[in-house]
Amino acid sequence: MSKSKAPRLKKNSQAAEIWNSLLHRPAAVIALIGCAIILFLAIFADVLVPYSVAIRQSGKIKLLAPMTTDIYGKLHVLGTDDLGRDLLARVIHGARTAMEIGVISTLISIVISTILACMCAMLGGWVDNVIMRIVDVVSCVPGMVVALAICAALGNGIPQLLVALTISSLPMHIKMVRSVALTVAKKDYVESAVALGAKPGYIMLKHLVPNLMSVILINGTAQVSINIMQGATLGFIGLGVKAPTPEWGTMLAGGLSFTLRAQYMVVIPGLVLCLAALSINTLGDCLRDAFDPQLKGKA
Amino acid sequence: MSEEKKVLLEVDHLKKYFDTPRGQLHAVDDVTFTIEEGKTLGVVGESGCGKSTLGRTILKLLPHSDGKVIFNGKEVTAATPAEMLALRREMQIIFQDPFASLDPKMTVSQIIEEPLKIHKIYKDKKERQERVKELMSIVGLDERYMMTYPHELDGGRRQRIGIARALALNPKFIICDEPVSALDVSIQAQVLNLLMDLKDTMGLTYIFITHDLSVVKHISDDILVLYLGKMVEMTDSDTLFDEPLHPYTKALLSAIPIPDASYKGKEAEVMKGEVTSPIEPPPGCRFAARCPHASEKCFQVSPEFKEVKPGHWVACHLFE
Amino acid sequence: MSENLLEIKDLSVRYTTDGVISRAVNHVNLSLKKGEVLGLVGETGAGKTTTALTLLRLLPKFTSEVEGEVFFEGQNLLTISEKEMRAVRGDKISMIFQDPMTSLNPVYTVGEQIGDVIRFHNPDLKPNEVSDRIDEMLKLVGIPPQRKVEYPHQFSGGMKQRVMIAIALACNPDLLIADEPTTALDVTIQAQVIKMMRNLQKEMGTSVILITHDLGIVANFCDKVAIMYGGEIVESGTLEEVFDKSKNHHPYTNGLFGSLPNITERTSRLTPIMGLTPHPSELPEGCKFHPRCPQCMEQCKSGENPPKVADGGHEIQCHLYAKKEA
Repeated sequence: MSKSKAPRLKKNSQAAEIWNSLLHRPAAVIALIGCAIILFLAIFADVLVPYSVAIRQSGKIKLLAPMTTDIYGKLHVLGTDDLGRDLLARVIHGARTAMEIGVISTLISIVISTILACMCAMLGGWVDNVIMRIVDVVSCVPGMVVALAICAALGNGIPQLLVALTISSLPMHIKMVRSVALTVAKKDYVESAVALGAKPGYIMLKHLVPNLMSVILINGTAQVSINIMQGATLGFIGLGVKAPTPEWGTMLAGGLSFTLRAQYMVVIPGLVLCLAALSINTLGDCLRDAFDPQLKGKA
Repeated sequence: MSEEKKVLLEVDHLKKYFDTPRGQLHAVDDVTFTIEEGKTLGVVGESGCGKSTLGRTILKLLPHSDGKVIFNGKEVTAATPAEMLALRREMQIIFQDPFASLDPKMTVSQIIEEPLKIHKIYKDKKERQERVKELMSIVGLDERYMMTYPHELDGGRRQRIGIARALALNPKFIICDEPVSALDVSIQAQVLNLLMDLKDTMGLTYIFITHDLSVVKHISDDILVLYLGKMVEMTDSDTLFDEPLHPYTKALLSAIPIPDASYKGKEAEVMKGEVTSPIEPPPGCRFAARCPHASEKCFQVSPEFKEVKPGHWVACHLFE
Repeated sequence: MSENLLEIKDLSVRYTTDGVISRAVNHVNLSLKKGEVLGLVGETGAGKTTTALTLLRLLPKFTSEVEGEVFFEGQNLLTISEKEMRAVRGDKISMIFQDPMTSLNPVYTVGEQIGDVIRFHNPDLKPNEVSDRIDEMLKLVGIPPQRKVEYPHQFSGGMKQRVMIAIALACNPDLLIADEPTTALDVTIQAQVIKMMRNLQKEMGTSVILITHDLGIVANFCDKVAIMYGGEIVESGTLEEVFDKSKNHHPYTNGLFGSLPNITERTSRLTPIMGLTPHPSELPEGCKFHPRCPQCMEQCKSGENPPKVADGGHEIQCHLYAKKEA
């Protein structure tokens, strides 16, 4: 209890502690590498392969198996699809689409849900009631159905998809963050800040949010993978992104009719999607473990 | 000195009721007292007697149900948010649990600095840091702990951080809510001594809330005993220990185990029954059910809190 | 054999967490006769609870390392099999924990929880016999037997602790370990529980190890006292010996008494022990108490533990008195 470590004059960051603890877990390291690869592909997609390659169609080189060289002498490592587009280029640019969908929708929903959840916890009363009743109504309908309805109403495209995914993931986030925020808001240190004359906004920003960070991070990571999968699902049924945009779900749907002739068209996007979701989820789990001793000891 | 001392805090018929599913809970029921500047009032009672609620209601951390709190001539219970902000500089609180009252995500220096930031006392960061160092030395914390997090420190040091934070704004009045009950005995004594020293050097006025009568004897001038939200007895510290009048006070005193071998196996007068909850309390004295001297009247009429001897107030039918 | 019910010989316990070694208990020797009440006094981290948990072999298996011997009725508890140990737990040695709020399972009635212990150790009892025994136990601790069908949340803190005591005593144990049994309770309730425990102890002749930080309770209840600091017993003896102010004492014992606010006389200031209790992972060299000791001498600061000085049964582990004798 009274761990009187050698006192420091420098502030040791708690983030560094979490990072260290992550690096000591093999699963976490593998997941981190997986996530780093996806991020790398997403960020440097244009440098690796020009976007034009990913959407260039050519009747002459369609349905080439992986590792074949086409009539122009170009090697297609992952083959080409039924429209003659290079699958590797589409997978790489698909990573960018997936990250855009997953990360941006999660970020938006985290920001909104944290603000709303903190308001619920701090202000209570009718504010809490109104917000939570709306959340109840929205969460009556499964998230996927909400997303489907919004996509169907707004049409195809990444912005529409973002709106759909954000709204469908909000209720769960608000509930989770609020439940923790409620316990934090009852802590003596919050009361102590009130006794000092701090305003609710200040307390939210300085006391609630830092203490909610672990929950937000853990749930956020899981949400990224859920949203990537949902985006792919919507793409698979033709409601996601617009047609030529490379997107794993759409690619999977496109390959479906060629399952017998060109299995790789289904296997490759399916596998990539799977691995991406797996590494992000694993990272989320490891984050939870890394945070856990702190959650137990301090929160 | 015949001159009247200045009254700093006046609590007038203060009531705090909570609505619960089982009815109204009378946490603080009609509490009236005054504290003179520089004095310490000990508030004693068992769990559920409303002592913590009383402290929080005085500081307006909880809205009151009825009555008045007047601090230094200003009515706290009627203060606007702007007036309240100014009042908060004068009235502070030290919490019981040094493990819950400090934000785990802040360093020691940030915690002590926070009140200065909220009230924008120093413009530049350097002056603020100087003040933090000064406060740390006042409460006996080494400067090298500035950048550590509370969880790296032990209970005694953490409680010192809480005290430094409460002192940051140079308040006149501090409510100490069981400040030592979570600490080990040897650390308890250190913190109690610190609190007594601070009172002398900074001219502080305390309300010292505790369940431990032996702690309160040391630090208080006057002691108020609460039972289920009601005032039971109030007098100066010595009189309370030497000649307690109310049966509840007597029982409380006799229940304290005394660390002396001659008390071995001695049958202390053990009070029967348990503390009930003050939800929709029936009329009559709230202690009647456990009282060895309870008469018919005690179950019907609530005894009045009045001065039976000079400076000695009791609420009991035995003294009417 | 001098009929010692319990004999702890040179017991040491180390914990390893994240590579940090905590020496929680160091070379502890204790003995307890039948029917005796021993008070184990100390502050947080002194090793009181670890000592108690070792007796019941309840320490976490993989992170703790135990050395020494614990003889209970002539049997070394540290070497017997887990199955034999289970027969001892709850039947011959039982334990009461500090927090009655979390020690009871909220989904079973109080009666069921008392009945469980009885059935574990007496599988042949018929249901109505078990039921009779539950009633008897509840009456013993002052709870009306009709309340056995109620759930723990319907009981107050003091009542729950009574239920815990009923569970602990259900099988007539030879040794009861009470770990801060009244710390979570109000003073008036504490007085009730202590009085009840004392009466039961006399009635049933159970030996008790009472772990507490409250010297007042010790004075009220115990025959023998052992004061722990830094995982060691720094002073032990009968209640009268340890509490007698005219005798020599370990400086820590003096410090503890000085730290106590005394309600029988008025003093303006307390005399606390300076400094802080060390964490068991960073115990100092030499005498564990020397950095806080007002009478610290050069030889206290290094080397082995100070010698134990005995005056009859009254033992003090301190250089101060060793020197005087020499």
